[in-house]
Amino acid sequence: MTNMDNLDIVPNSTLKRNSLGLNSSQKLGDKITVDVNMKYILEDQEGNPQLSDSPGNGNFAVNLFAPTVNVNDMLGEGGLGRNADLTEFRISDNSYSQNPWFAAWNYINSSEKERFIGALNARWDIKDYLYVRGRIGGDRYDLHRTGSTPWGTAYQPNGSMNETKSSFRQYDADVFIGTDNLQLDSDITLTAFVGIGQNSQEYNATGVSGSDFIVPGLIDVKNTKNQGSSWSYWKKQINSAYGSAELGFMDYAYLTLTARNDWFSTLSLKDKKAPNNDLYTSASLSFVLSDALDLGSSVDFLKLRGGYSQVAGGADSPYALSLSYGIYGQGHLGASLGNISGGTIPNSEITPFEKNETEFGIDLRMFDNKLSIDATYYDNETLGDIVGVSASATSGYGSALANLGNISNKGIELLIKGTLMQSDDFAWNASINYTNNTSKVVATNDTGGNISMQEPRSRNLRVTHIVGEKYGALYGSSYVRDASGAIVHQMVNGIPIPKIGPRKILGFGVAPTQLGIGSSVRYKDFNASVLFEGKTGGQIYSGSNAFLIRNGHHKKTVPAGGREAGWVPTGVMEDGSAITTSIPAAQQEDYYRRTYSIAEEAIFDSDYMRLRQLSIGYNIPSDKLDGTFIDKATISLIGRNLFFLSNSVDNIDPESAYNNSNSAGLEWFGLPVPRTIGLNVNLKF
Amino acid sequence: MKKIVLTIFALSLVFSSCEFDKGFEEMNVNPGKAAQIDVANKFASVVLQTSGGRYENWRASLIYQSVMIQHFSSTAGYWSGDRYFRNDGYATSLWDRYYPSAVKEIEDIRAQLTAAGNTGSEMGMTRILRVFIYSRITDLHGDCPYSEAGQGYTNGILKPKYDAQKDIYTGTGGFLQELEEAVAQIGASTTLGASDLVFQGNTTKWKAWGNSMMLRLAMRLSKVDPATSKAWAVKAIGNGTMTSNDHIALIKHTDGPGGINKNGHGEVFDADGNPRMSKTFVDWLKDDPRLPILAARRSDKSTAIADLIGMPNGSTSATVPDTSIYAEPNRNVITKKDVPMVLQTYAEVEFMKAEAAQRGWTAGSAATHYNNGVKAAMQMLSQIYPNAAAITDAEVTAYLALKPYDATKGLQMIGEQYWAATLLNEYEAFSNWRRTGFPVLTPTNDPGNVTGGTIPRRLIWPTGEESTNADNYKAAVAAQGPNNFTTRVWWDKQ
Repeated sequence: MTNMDNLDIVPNSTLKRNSLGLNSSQKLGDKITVDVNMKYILEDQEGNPQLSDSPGNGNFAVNLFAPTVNVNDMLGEGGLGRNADLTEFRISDNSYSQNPWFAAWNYINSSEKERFIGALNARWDIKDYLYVRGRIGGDRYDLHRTGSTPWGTAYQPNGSMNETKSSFRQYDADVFIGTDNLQLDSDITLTAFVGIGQNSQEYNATGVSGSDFIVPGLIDVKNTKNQGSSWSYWKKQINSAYGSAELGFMDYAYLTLTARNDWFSTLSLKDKKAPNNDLYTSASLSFVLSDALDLGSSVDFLKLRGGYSQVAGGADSPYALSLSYGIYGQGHLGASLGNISGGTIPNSEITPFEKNETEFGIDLRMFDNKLSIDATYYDNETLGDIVGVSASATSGYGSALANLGNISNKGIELLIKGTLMQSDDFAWNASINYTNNTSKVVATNDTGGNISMQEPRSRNLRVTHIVGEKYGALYGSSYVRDASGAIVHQMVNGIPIPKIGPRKILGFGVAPTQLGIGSSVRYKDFNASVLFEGKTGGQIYSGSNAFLIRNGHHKKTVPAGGREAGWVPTGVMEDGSAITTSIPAAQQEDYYRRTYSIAEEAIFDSDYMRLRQLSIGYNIPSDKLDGTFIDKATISLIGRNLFFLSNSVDNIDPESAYNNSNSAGLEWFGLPVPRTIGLNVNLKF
Repeated sequence: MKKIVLTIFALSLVFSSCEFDKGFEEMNVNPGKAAQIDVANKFASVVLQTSGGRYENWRASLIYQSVMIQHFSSTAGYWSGDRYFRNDGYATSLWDRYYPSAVKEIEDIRAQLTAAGNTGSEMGMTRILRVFIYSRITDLHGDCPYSEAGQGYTNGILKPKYDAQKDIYTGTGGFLQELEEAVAQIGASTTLGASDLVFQGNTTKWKAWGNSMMLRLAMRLSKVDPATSKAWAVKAIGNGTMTSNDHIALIKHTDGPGGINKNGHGEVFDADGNPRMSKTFVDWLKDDPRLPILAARRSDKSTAIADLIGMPNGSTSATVPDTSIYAEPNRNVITKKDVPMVLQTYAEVEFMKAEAAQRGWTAGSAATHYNNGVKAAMQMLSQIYPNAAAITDAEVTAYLALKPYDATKGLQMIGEQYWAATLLNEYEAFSNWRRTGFPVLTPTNDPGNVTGGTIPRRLIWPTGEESTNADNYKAAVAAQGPNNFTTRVWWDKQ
């Protein structure tokens, strides 16, 4: 049973979670075993902070104030950022520049979630070499969300609200028959099974919404002038048949062969010609060298492994294979309104995608397990991935569903752990975790066209997959530069401003290299640990910095001599001559309005190394607990995300980028990863 | 061992005889959607999409065009059209919204009617509306996807080519030919009835609009190709254009329940208190009975003539710290969410006829058409806006006596009246100003402008097309000129 209360760094934002778990295992006779696991979770969230754009995101407004502005001057009536009549306490003529207190205290964005996770696992040992196993698992939740832009909001004076109830059901079931460690020969064992399985998911949501409150402050859909309702439903299922056989030789060599066929409902359509299923296989071999040969006393364990595997997958979303129409809104002057649903062009002949991977690994433990090295090399390619290929909006659609191309990934993963010192009272451990991945877009569609993903609000850049390049190029407008790399300027209204160059690759959003270094020390009942984490090799388009520069809030917009003295930008003029014109203070804004439209200005390397975690703990010695009902007690102080050792992006936390894989490398006024300091008391009875 | 092999073999047999995807085809059909729907539902939808949402009516229509053309003015920095700033998202908002909504839907309707073999009124009405939709796009941006647009599903065209504006207007399948054929196929009635949210199934009015639009688009060519312009204008007039304010093409709106039902401009005025009446416009409306209907003082809503002062375009919060002393669009009359969106008026038709006569293209009297136009433009206000006071015949007569038609400056007088009559049809006002040069406007000259201190001649294409439709975009830049605000569209010949 657990209970968690979390107060966010944004005012009025809370998360409460209560959960109840139950595990039970029972033997029915000596041949049947039944395990049951259940978990029930209640989650209550209030004032979830909104991200990205203003309004609703208090962080956006706070970031754009001049540093001389005190946020506490905006508190308004009761500190809620509003006036006595419930209207927003305005901080600017621009109704979209919202009072952050108003956003935090008056907007409603809350949810209640009730979740139940259960699994039943039964095994029947028919014979001593043969068993049948059945598993069924369910994960279901009911979610109630309420959102409201209050009456009195400057940009939406009459306000609006919505209430949604949704339910999600996921079931997994499989049954298989198999054998464990069957001795086929004195040296050969067999572990094998064949089975069938099913995964089904269903979502069902109904909602009501209303705009224009009649009575201010009363949050009820009936209290709105214009009301609407919505229903959303989908269901999808995957059925599978699979088998696996592992042959063991002398307990040190193992060959594993698997085969699996999946059928996807999301790829099924009447009269479809292409398959809705795929058969995929794998083979792997592992060899415990330390058991087969005598490697000397310093080697405790050495295993080599290698394999080839395939995995297939279907379309994520159902109903994407055919065009459909819907009736929307509530009609207009007696006419009903209908149109094509969705902005993606359906494709009736979509087939499963495949990911093929070759992998080699080594697992080495030495010196009485004081040093361990786990290293893996992999090389995979994803073929026929199901994606929306971007279409020009002039086609009427934003994208077209397709099986596309070939994206390859190669890399290594390395984990080294060492015990540097150890005695009864003292231990010192250290570990290094290093991964490096090289991606490449090998092919896209027939014509090798680019695949466009997300773009930021400034719309001068798009995450794009380009053949021959790494995955996720940041493709956007650039500076025009001369042969020496100097930024070329042109005269506009008497001041030199940079020319806008063509779109080009400005970086890649996915950082290829990650490094983690950890260490822990224990002395008697005290322990301490530290973990550093970092990434390198990627880039980020920072919308926050783009905005800060445009609005003159970024440090770089203040020239060394101050703005009033005028400022001569660095670079050259179109004819190659040096820039001599000084930009007066009043026109420096025009300079930065131009650089805002050049994506390159806000591209940064997203390298960082941060102190992820530092903890200090104390185990209360058990002799001190004698006579109490407590069996064991630990107290620890844990700090997370305390500081950066290095951060190559100005002003923001590189981890506050949106981390959706389709838009990796974009950032727009996200909240920083919070610095937390916690005290943890762990008691066992 | 043998037993196991046999067991596995037996199980494999059992598996292979199963139908593993039973029910999947039915499961993957969305229970909340239909495979096809009636044209009537689609037609009602596309009409409202043409009227447009708050998004593009705010940005393309008001933030850019209404202030560029000096109907309105604003000190707010994001009202980019007042001081000719570049804001890509605002400048491309009509394009960004129309192609995935109005264009997509009208092409879908056309395909459905074609498949059904419909060659009657419904097809004719669809073709007229289709020309209207594309005319807004091409007049604003120049060359644009037309013959291949909106066909991502029907013909699998993900990257439509940009058609030359000349072909869009005068080519095979171009606007003028389309309108001629469309009007000809409209019969005495239509099955669309109440779903025709423009004329409620009145096909006579559709024919009059089709011909009036032909006249409008013919006149567009007066600079670049006077002969073609004249030929089509004469044809349009001969075929029968709008004859009274009852023929005005407009889309009625209601204040809810959804955004789709509301007038997009009305939604903007609800959220944005920045626009003021331009000094240029208010000064021109001196002695005009329309002034107190269209304008009211911001501070106290006064419509007393003496209180109505226009704010100069190019003002900033530094030069005008208090904008509330100026007149704004009258919030009691023209800015409401339940007023109609006007597509074309009878007054415009009379002004175009006056111009055709003035140019000697037709035998009619320019003065008569001018007078008819002024009268229609004044008296239509109470017909369009429920809260507008009716302007009497006597007031019209008095105004015309004060400003009688003067043939020596006929084109200018006509152009200025056309400009005043197209308030809140900013697309048309901007196009006609570019064609005629009237009214003569003094550009603003903010240091941050991107046009060298001249009023923009077009709005830019989305630069995102550089990545999603690269080859066609490059070809369009090569054909039309750089993608900026000063490149002229084909018919806007210097």
